Amino acid sequence: MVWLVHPEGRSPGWVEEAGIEVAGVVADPAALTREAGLVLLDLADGPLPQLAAMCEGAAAFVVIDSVERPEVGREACRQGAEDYLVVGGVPAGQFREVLLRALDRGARHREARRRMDRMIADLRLARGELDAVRLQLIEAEKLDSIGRLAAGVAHELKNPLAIVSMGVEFLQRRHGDDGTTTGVLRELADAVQRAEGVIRGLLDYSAPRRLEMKPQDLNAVIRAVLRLVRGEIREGKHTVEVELDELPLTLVDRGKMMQVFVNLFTNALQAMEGGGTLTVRTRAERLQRVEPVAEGECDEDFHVGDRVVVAEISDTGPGIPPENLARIFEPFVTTKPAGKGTGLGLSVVRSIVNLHHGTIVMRNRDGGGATATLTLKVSENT
Amino acid sequence: MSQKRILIVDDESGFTRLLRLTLESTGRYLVEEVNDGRQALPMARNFRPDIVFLDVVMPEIDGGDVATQFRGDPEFKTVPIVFLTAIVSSSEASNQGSIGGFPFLAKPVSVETIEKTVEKFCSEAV
Repeated sequence: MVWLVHPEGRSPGWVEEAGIEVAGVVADPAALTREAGLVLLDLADGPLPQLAAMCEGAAAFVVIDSVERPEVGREACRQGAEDYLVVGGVPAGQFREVLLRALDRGARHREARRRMDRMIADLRLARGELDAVRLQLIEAEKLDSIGRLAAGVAHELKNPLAIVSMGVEFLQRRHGDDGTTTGVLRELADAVQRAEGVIRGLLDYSAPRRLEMKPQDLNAVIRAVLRLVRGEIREGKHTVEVELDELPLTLVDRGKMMQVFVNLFTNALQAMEGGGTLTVRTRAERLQRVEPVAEGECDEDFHVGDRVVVAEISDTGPGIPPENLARIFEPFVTTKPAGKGTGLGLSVVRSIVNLHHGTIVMRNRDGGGATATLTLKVSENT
Repeated sequence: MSQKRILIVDDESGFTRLLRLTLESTGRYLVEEVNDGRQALPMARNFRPDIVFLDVVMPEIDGGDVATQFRGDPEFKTVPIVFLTAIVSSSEASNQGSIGGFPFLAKPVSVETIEKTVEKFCSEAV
């Protein structure tokens, strides 16, 4: 659609002579919008710079002049005009063709520019996402370093603990008949044992090794991990409710299963900014029906009547946005701000659970918050 | 019953001293301690231990090398050697396994465990 800008807001004679159909004539280019399409800017001795500047961006435009003025032509092109034509400067009968060719060229330029703008915007978006992934990788690498350092840290902490422990035993043997001293020493021994449990838990958690499946009490694994995250629970002013039913032994890799619960617990705790309740429940049951699970999970391993242990980890946070719920176990899906989470924790959880031929499902709770449900089959041989 | 002779090799002098004092207080053991692995074999030649407790990670020479020195010496080829280590996970600790073919105890270790270990290996050696 061709519009004409004319200082007096009228269609000059050359337009009709050239056989150009004009959709409208305006005196002020500000009245044009991007939908104006192509614009003929008739100077008619009007002030070029201001008019051209106002046209640019609104539409592709061609400047028409009544007399040839090379300096005006250069300025017009500098201002973004597709062409500078002089009425009478083009042989009669060809004016329309030349004009439309210029306008067509302008339209293509404009379209190319729009595409480039879109590509630049996409590129900026992709770059932002890349930066976020880079940050997540840095976080992941940091965690990996901590894992690799754990053995050294454990060594440096366990040696002083061994001295304290030995000292306590020495004093217990010397002052075994003094009730008060014995009580104090027992407290010390308990504290050493607790600290030792935490360090051993860290070693279990970080030890990179092949899958070592052994019959384990999942409740004991959960208790060990709750000790590991006690600092985070205290710091976040969270409360913990634990309802652990008696469970049959389950064939799992203790270290890997600890990693599952560390990730699930910390994920739940971090979802409750300002405090909340972490609830951990376990139960043993025979499957009444096989729940459909998301793609990639080992539902084919479960059958009605199978003996299973189920662990449910619930939080009272805001829940998971519905658009993320289906993808929550995919790598780099996180609802935390950059630098706060790797986006890998839950994907690692699913990988480990799959290695155990189990299922892990995340659901939002009716009353708010989310629940992760882990189901593992009990081997009849355990 | 004669007193068992125990050599403790560990760079943590606080640990070796307390373990020595506690074991000696039972009256059933004679104990020597060295805090530099390089001094272990010379001390053993002098002290003639029935069993050696050997730390794994030490600054100058590690427990593995000390154990190799003992096994290379005809006099100590068969003396029981038990490693003491701080770097094991619970699954490794409960495995009752070995480090380089030697049994190990995970630190912190109780005196009772040490005593049981002494009884086990020294009675086997007899």
